[in-house]
Amino acid sequence: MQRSQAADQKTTRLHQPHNHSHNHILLQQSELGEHNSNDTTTGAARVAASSSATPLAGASSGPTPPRTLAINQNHRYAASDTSGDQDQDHDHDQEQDEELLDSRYECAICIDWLNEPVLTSCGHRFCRSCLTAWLQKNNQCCPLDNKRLSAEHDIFPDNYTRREIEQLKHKCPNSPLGCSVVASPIELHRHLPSCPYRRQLSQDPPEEKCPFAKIKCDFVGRPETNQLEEHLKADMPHHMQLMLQAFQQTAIATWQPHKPSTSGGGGGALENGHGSQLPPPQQYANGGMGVDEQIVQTMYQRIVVLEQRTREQETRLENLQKQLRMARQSSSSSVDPRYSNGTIVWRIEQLGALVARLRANANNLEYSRECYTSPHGYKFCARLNIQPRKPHVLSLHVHLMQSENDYHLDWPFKGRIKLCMVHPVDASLSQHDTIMTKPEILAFHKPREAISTRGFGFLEYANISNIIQLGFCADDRLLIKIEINIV
Amino acid sequence: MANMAVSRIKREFKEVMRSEEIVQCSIKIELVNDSWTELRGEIAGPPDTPYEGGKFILEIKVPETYPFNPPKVRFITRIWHPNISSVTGAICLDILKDNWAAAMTLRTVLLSLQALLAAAEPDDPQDAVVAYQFKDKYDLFLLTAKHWTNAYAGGPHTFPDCDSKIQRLKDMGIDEHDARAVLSKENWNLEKATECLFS
Repeated sequence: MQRSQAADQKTTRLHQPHNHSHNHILLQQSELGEHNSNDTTTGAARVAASSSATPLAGASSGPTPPRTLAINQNHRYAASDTSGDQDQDHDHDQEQDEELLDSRYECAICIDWLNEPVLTSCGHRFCRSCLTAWLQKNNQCCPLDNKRLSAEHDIFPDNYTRREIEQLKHKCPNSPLGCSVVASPIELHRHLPSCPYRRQLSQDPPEEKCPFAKIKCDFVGRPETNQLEEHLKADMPHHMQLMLQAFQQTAIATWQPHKPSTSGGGGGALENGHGSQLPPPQQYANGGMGVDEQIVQTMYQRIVVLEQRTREQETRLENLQKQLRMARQSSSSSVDPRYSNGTIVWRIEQLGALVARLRANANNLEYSRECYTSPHGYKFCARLNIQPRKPHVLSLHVHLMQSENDYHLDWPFKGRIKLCMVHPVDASLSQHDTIMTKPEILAFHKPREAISTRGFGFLEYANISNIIQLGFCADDRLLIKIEINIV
Repeated sequence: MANMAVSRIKREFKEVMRSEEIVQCSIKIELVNDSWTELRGEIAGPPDTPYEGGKFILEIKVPETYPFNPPKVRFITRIWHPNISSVTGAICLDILKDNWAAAMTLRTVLLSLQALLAAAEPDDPQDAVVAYQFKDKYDLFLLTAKHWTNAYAGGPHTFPDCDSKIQRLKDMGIDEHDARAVLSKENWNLEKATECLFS
């Protein structure tokens, strides 16, 4: 009969409370069983079956043990009703104790102990908060049988059940760790997060152990972070050493000198001659065993340390070379911008790649290096970009930059800006533009950022295809010269 | 994710894990990520249906408001069924929509889906083409459903005739799934299917 109910999908849960309403102790047993718990045979029969499945050591004494066992089990489970779940000594961890949850006291919505139980007019119990939340979702009917429920008229506090649950006393799941709290399931729920004996593991998400934990790496990380990944990268030498140690230990532990794997017959003779004393391997045969092993071990460790040091040195050398290269580049390419006298000679290598990059994103800007009008003058730079609306035109602007001279200079900046796109072959083809500053233009006011957000120049400085056609960029290189003078 | 949804899913997970159906291998459920928001279900095609012998994978997404709102379930395995989209795997089942009740669980949902496979409702279709075939040419529907079960869910019935027609379309450069879908739609009429594909 039960089986057919289980097959009836939508109503399974609906029927469960009735199934379990025969006998409390019996019910607990079937819940505690191996979870194929649909049989509600008598307690004795059930226990007999389980004992025949796993014959006990004492079973040889005759046909009586099952009976005594049955009594014992009844006692135990009856006791568990009042004194808590942790009486079960075998493999019942904290999660499983929740399975003792009596389905009469279970809320079908949260599948947990009824908290502030309410009874509906159709005869079902739920937590007050669960049912209220359900009814608020425009579902004015019972989650179990779809009968219409009105929040005002069909729901009553079920204080009887509340008291029943309150009278259940369970030990805190952390009792094996020393917690002595005994309380009702609802109180335990509140107690657990603050239980002083709670296991870190049971409260927090599981910790992530290092895969090298077996060889005594005691790192533990949180799974939601990438601590483990970093640990694996950073502590590689440590792991190597641990592996070495582990290897040495296994090598020593498993070394069986009685097996003459390479030494052949001579080894066998040696073995016989020495009797119980362990013959050293041939290569160490001269010295005492312990000393040799120590030497080898120290050597191994030394090698690891030295290798590690070599690697560090290599990295350092590489870094130094990189720095040197950079320093060389910067020193060869530029004059101190302070002494550039207001002239930027902007050599743009690989114009094609630059154009592609600028087109890809309107926020990509290409800045020239900075420049001073005089050693104590205005500091500025130039900027190239491409507007998304006009992908075929380069924009060129000049930006003032903050400098240590700003405080003693006159603002706004007054001067003349000459832009020249230099033709590499024919100077007469070079494109010249001159701009005079105007005091009302914000771009020439004292810059408030490292590079003034406002620039001044040409939105449509040059058509890219023209640049190429007119031969401005031989070897994919464009030269723009910018001269700025104070007037 | 809301605490209640997670704790309930965890409990339900255990419920499914120890249910009789899992012992019989008729339903199965597994986690996709650690956050318990996404699960993967599997149901066996019920006996005496064209889906018998097939294993159908389901994508189950648990909303934060679970169990007050139903989980979002979709067939990942392609299936030929009037109430399941042959393209997207979307399911037309009342309890996954308006008739959801908070007391339903993942287990009951999976079992209901299994029941849906056994008892299609062609008058409330998700896939109109399949539903039409179901009502109009039931024999062809059975054949197509068995063929799809074989092709996608590991079912036992093979139909060399279908396979050869699909192969014909494949030779014309049509993707196998598209070929199968069009042929199924056109009641395995190769000419009509070709016409439909190339017009």
